[in-house]
Amino acid sequence: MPAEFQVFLQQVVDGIANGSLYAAMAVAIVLAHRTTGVVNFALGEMALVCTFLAWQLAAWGAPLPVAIIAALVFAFVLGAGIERVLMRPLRNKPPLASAVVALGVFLVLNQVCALIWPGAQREFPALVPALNLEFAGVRIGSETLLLIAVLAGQAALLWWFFRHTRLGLRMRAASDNPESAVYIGIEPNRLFTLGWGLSAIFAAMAGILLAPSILLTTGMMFPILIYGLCAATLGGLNNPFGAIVGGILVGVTENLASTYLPFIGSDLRIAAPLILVFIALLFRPHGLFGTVQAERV
Amino acid sequence: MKLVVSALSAGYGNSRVVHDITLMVGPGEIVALLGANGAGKTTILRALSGIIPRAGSIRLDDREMIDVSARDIVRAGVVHVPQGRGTFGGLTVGENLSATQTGSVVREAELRDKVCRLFPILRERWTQPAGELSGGEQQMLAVARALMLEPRILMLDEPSLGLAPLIRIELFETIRAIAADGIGVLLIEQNADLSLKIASQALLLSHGRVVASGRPDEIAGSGIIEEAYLNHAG
Ligand SMILES: Nc1ncnc2c1ncn2[C@@H]1O[C@H](COP(=O)(O)OP(=O)(O)OP(=O)(O)O)[C@@H](O)[C@H]1O
Ligand SMILES: [Mg+2]
Repeated sequence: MPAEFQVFLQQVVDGIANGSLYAAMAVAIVLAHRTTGVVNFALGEMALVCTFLAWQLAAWGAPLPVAIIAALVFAFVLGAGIERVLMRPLRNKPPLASAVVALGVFLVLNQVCALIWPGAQREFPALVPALNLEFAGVRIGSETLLLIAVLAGQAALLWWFFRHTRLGLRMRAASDNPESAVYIGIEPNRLFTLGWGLSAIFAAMAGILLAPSILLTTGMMFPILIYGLCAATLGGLNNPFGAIVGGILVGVTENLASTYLPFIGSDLRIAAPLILVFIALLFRPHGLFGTVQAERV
Repeated sequence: MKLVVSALSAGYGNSRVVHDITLMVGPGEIVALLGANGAGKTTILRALSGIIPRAGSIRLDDREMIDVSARDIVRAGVVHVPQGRGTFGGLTVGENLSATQTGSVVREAELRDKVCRLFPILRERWTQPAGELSGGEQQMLAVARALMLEPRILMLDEPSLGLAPLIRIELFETIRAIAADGIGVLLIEQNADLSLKIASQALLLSHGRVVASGRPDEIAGSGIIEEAYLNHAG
């Protein structure tokens, strides 16, 4: 295989791995958005708190899987709680109100995190033993394999949940037409709260997947939130599968651009996906897989 | 199952729109609710299905339903097909029907077969998004979706709105068949002649009050319908 092609493949594989983080965050954004029509800017910091919590539990001696599951459960409670307490009263108010409240939650959670876990940067334990495999000259670390496996798992889980479970179907019905759902005995409010809880789990997964490859800081989730917003917008804000494809596209574009476009390098990495989103939206204003959603009144 | 409503009043916010409503729907009966635009017909159905504040008494057999939540009213067997259809446009026809189900899969399949016998067109459109159906097909889907909930009392708000005359007659035949199955039907219909033809009882509403009730022939012959519609206009 020509060396250039190997470099290209390597960048694509690494891009998919990064993309799976963005995909998890994008899925989180989409799940919250399609249930309540709110872009939840606080998701990144919700993930931050959960990631620190998992770190803390592990540092206290909990087995890593237990720490992670506990953090995901906490994420669900946090997401559901924020919807129930802060978002429900704002339903049917202008969407900007909810967005501003979400930004407020962003700041509060970030500060809370800095207060509880001040100072020194922390190292998150590895999720899988380090291993370096090579396929046709392309290096694939075990972390990368894990990320790709998680990505596939997310896609399968979402597909199964929304297509093949009664609960998933009722959630889709409630977001499609909340007024009408009431007439068949669905209580949309309950399902919206549940949707935000699930959304927070996906966000927390993005944080926990990212954590082992960096040092934990209170700023670590911000870029993931931005990339996730790019991916969600690209895929379509109401389609979780679009979010996954969007995540991969953003991850791959980012990596290829910083390899092949010298003026982008590593400092301007985020510019490439933003340009991609911009161009895509010119042609498909609702995202690649988005559909026009009837305005909520 | 018998629905007995007495002294019902309901409205929006602080304004009461309907007052002192008394009506009764027994198994297999079709009760027509007539009245001019704005008379309060839809408001009565909303009150009965528990989605707006209401006072008075709504008895389902021996159970008082006035304080029961919308969800539990549906579970008790009182199902409302709202004005303007309200299907889930982004879900397929099949998914629209399945979204009603919480019980066993076997029962779901039985119900599905049953409603598809009433509305064969739905089977042909099974995997199509409901938003892509014609108006008449969506209306049938809305009724079919309600039937999936195994109602004992079915409340239909202008089910024939916007349908071609032939399809409208077909739909009314279906409503008759649903009632013949033992389901009580409370029917709002702009076309008084048509609904009086299939109704066993009729109520005439004006400005939120019942101004006449009785058998269709009593109501139709009396000239009171014209009066109610005209009074409102004037
Ligand atoms: N959501 C609402 N908020 C406030 N007032 C309402 C609301 N819906 C209806 N009303 C008022 O209640 C009254 C009765 O309305 P309703 O919809 O029950 O009439 P209707 O008999 O169903 O009329 P139509 O034949 O036009 O459907 C009207 O005066 C209307 O203005
Ligand atoms: Mg009406």
